[in-house]
Amino acid sequence: MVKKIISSVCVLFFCFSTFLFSDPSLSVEIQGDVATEGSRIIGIITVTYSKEDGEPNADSFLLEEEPLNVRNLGTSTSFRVTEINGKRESETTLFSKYQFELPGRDAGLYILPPISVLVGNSRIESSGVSFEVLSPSINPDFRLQASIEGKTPLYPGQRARFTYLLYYREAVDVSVQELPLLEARGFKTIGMKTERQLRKGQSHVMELSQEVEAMEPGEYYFGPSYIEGFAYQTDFFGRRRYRRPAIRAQANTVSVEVLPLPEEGKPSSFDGAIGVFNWDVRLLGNATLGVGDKLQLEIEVSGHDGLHSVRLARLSEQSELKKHFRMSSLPAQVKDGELSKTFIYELRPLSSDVIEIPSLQLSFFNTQTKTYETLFSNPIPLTVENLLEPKQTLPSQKIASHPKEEAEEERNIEESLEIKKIEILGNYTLSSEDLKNSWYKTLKILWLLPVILFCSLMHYSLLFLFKRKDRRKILLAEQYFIQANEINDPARFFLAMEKALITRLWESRLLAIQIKSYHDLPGEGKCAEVKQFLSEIEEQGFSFQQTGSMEQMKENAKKIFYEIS
Amino acid sequence: MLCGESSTLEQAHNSYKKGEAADNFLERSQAFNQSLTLYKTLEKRSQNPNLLYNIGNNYYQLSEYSWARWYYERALLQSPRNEKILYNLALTKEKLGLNEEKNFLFSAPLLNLSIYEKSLLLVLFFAFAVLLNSINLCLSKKKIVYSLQISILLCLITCMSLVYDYYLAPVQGIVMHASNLHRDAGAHYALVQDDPVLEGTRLRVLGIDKESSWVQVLTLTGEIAYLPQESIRLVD
Repeated sequence: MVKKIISSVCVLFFCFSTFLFSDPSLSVEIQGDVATEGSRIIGIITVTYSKEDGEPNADSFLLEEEPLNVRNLGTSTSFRVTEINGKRESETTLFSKYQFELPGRDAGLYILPPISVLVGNSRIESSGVSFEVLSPSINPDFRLQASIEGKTPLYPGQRARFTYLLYYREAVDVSVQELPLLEARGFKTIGMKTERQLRKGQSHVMELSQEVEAMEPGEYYFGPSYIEGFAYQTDFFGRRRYRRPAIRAQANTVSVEVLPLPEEGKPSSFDGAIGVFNWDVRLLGNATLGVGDKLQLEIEVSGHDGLHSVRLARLSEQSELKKHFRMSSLPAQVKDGELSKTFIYELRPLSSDVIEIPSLQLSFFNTQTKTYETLFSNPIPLTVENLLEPKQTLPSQKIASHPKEEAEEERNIEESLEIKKIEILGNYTLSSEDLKNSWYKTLKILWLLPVILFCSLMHYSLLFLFKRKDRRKILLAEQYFIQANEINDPARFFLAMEKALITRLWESRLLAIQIKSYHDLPGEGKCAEVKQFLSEIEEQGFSFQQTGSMEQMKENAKKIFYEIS
Repeated sequence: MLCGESSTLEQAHNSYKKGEAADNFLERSQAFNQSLTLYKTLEKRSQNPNLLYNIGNNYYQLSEYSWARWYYERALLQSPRNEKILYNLALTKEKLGLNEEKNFLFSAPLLNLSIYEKSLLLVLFFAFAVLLNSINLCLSKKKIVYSLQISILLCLITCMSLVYDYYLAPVQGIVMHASNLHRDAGAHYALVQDDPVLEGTRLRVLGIDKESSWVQVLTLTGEIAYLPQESIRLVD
């Protein structure tokens, strides 16, 4: 089983690696992605190929169809061995490196065109590489770049991201900085500025950016921007060792143009949406409903950019919708997706004459064509039933045929709309007492359980103690009884037995007070039996001298003693 | 404070009555809205089932059926046999176009008690059992022993039912507005069903993903699905 899995993984890896390395490839890198103005630009070409592909021809390098002189830096080899079902296969990949030089250029950002070379009989080509040429005054180890991400020029309401990239090799303690792009005066800042740490080549890059929204048309200038500070290194004890003099990174002034939105061709339903959008209008729930019942309309607007500007603020003003529906006074629910924005509107049909949700309009300014566009949705059929016969029906034609009276009639629509019968059972009349959260109506009542438990434990403890005391007393009577049984002298036996029986009666709570003589015993119940028994012994005048009579007497005494409880 | 509460309650009740007696839509809507606003100011201070029922009624009158259902369900948790709540809830479900199956096991009279009623019963049974035990220690009678055994059994049943209600009973949620059900916590995941779940539907909530603000639910067909937290409200 394990072998099978390993074999399968090997097969997959082999297929994958074959796919990766089946064709030779070419990559180009400009050292550090930067060069200095006027100095030669040095780049490295790496050709990856297999033995079967053949050797790259160093004289065949072309840059924009012109021969490119290169210097061979050597070839390295990579071996890979695979074993599939016991069959061993090896593959060798070769990496040949070449250095080339280009003449110096003016400061600025450039893209190096593709470079091609012959490997065996086929020509392979690299992709374009970007690099920056810096002016000699700029320190390549500490430099600042200011840029604007997003399409420019902007229109009011359109968003962009203002970004600074700070390249540095050593840690710098910043002493002075001026970064006007982050303040973005004249623009509305969206959210907080963001900070990211990146790595590019041997440099660390700190990216500082701020999302902004254009507000007023005009031309805006930001800069120059700069950061000044002291580079430092930290020693073994964590102390900073600063280098002097201070270093400074400066970025040129950046300009942004905000154009006004054209007035020409602006549709009445335009509410500031800028971008390229599509939309889908759907009815959520049942299309059959009563007058005044709520229905939910879902509008999903999709687009790659500018979704924030879609507000659909004027949807409720679209005349057909306004005439036949009452819009909820609450704002629409809005769900923001990655590439879409969904609005859920609540509408209530005002009369049974409503047969559809009319076609809706979404107008926006297309930033690609620089024109206004309007999208129309398809009408959605509805069946609106009158739950009760209305006193007065407002035909939609009447509303449409008297535009001057429209406003007044609209105001009266809701007032004259037939109201439904009260269907549900009425409210409770509450008093402030009802609002009190009494402890016995909450889970707090469960606190009574430990209280009851504690009380019962106390009760058991007391009972136990009481019984222990009783048991001790009973033991005392028994002790007297045992002592009495050991006596054979009738006179002493009588006295001892009298004491034992009276103690027994007292311990068994049959006597309220302790007495000395059996003559004082009450003449009822067990006490009477004991009294009679002791009186019989006394009457016999201790005549039971014989051993048999004495034994009989002791048996009788024992019987009476244990009958007392 | 109490005086203020009484006055608010009175005003809210009067507004509701005014809404019931109104002869046009606008007047009625305004009266119920006013009543609702007043009752809602008291909701933070008390979770009295009758107050929740009154709020539910206002929502019903304003045709906000999903909200009405949410309040009725919450009131029912505390007062499960209240016929007024049950009646209005049934009407609300009808309005929402929902036909949910009734859970017969938990509608049985003995088990259809609120958590507070069960707590009270548990305390009473426990106290009775303790009392019987004390009597039994003094007077050892067979009848007392049988009664003690029965009360201990009742105590255990109530305790188990309470533990189930408090810790194990499934949490329910009411869908406040129609929403799509996704296979995972995100709008970019595939839909579990083509049609969105209707507003007012009661779903069993399995968990809440606090980071993404999505709620895991069990659909009526028994599938696990996710919907945004703002679309559902827990009945607790």
